[in-house]
Amino acid sequence: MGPVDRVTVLLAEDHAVVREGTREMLERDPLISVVGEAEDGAAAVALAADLSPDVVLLDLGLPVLNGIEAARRIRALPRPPRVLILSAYDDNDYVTAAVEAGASGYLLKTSHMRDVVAAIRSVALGEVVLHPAVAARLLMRSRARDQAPEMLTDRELQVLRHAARGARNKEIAHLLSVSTRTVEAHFTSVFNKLGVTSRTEAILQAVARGWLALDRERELP
Amino acid sequence: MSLRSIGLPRPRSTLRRWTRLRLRWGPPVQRREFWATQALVLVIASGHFVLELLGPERGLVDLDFIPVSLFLIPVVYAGLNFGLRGAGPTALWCAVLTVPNAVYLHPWPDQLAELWQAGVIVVVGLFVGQRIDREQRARREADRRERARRTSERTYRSLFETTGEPILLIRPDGVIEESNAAAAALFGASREGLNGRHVADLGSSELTVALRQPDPVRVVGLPDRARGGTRWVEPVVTPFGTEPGRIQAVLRDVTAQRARQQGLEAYTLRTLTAREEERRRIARELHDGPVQSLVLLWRKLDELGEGASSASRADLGEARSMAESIAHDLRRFSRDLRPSVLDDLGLEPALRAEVATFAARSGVDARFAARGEVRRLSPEVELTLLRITQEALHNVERHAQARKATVRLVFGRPAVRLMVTDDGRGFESHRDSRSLLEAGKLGLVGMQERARLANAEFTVRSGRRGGTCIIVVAPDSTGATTKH
Repeated sequence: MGPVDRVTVLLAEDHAVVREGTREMLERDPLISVVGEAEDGAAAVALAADLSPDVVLLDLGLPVLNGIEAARRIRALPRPPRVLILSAYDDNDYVTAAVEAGASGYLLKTSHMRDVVAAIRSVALGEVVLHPAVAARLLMRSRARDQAPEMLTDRELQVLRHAARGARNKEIAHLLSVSTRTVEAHFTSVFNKLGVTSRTEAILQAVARGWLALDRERELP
Repeated sequence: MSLRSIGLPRPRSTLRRWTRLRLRWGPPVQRREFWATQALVLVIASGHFVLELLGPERGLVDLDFIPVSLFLIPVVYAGLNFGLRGAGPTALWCAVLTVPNAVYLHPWPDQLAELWQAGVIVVVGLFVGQRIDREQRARREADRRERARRTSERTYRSLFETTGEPILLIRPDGVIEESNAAAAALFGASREGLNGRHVADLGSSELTVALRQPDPVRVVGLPDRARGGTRWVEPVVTPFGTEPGRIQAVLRDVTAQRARQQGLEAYTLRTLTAREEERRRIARELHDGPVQSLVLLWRKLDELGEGASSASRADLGEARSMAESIAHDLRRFSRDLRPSVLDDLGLEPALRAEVATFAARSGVDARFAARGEVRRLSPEVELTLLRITQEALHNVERHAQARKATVRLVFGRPAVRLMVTDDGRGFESHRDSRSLLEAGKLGLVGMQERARLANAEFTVRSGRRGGTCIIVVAPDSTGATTKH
């Protein structure tokens, strides 16, 4: 996907008026094209498979199949689109569950549409995006455990960045030309520094601190 | 003029008392045999007197000891017949009649021998009378006991025969020794057919076990031969007689109570389900209606802000944050009604969030820990465990005056265990629902009932010192059906 291509988006939102409004606002952006709309989770999965959009903008409170489950199934498709959650829930558990299910971003419905448009573009490029309020909540939780976590090394950040895009340990090892065991060692070190126990939490903490976005310029093609 | 009015003692009552005493302890003066005995004594004494008076002249002196020993006959006779109250006066009467004989016809020291003999007779009389009295008392007592035993046996027998409760008397080897009509009807057999059979042949292994290990709350189902279906009985087992292992089993028929209780349970379950459904619907509608409208409002405000002056943009920003706080409140209401996390993500995150909210609200140091293989459970079990936790934390906040509380969730196979503990002041522990109810622990009764409806075991432990601990063990057959 080149930078001149329009980002194709599938909208999944059960509230018709909100969906219409969102579509209208997204289409004002010349670089975004809404290719489909779904009003429940199951339809979102089916359309994602049919249309293979770049990004699925997904509500969490969907009928039939909730957003988390829909995200998991969408990410399990053969050519999985990126998933950006647009939710009314700001609970950490939802954020963690969404990222675990494979979502690349989590925005709240209070977000300005400008930020939604920007997030769609970032996610399409492989970034991980968190709503500032969500990031603040995540940091609040970690701060209770650890006042000032140690800064990660460049190598650890690289490993984490690849993980955030959904790469497995083996793939990361291949990309960085190191052994799988080295990648695992990096993860262990990252977990210790951030006081977390899973890749998802590590990614979320790094994103919340802005560490993964810091290198954005360098990562852009 | 009454005697009492001039201050004299009451002769009638004195007389009556005297009469009563005489009747009890005095000689049996109204009995002809008594007077015949006294007459015999007089005859013997007279004979003795005459014998001795004429004795020396007619050569009969050697026989004078015979009449004295003859006194033993009336004395012993009176003793055997009337006890001490007969023997005592008779012996005294003998002694009195000996005195003139001794005084007039015997020289010293023969007088002493006569009186000695009289004394011996009195002692024999008292002894015999006293022994007879004791014997009679003992026999009367034994008679009374025997009568009482027979009466009680008759009473038991009639109860046994006529009661509607089926009763079996069972020998230590498990053979039915005796059964009543109700038992025969219960098992659809004649009493002759039932007696002598082994309990294991009654067609219910459950019953055999229940009879062997008495457990008052066990209810056993028996096929109802007369009307079809199942009769539910509650065996109440008590030892019978002195032989160890011999028991009486009353098979209390609780079919009707059971049906009523099941009706109540079904009703409670329906009420609960309806309430939960309602809460879920309202929570959902709060989220779908007002919150979505607020989303549209934000967008409108954002749009208006695009081309506005900085002053009005500040006002719009204020309006936006007002709308945000409304949305936040709506979210909270919705979550309080029914946390969407429970339905979307499962019990573990729902409890974690619940405990965190509780800690922030109450100031109690509340912790949550999950162990084992964290997974989704059936919706009923997840909801039950969440509601019990909420109620338990509510109690901690309101009654326990606790500083710490812990919620633990252990995912075992196949059971899931929830424990809510606190370090508060606790209460006296109670074993069953009735005493919980009596103690006014309605919250606990509610938790217990909720657990039961989800086929879960509920235990509460509490002491005045050690805080309170609530344990719920729920089965995890995913998609488990609740009791109907």
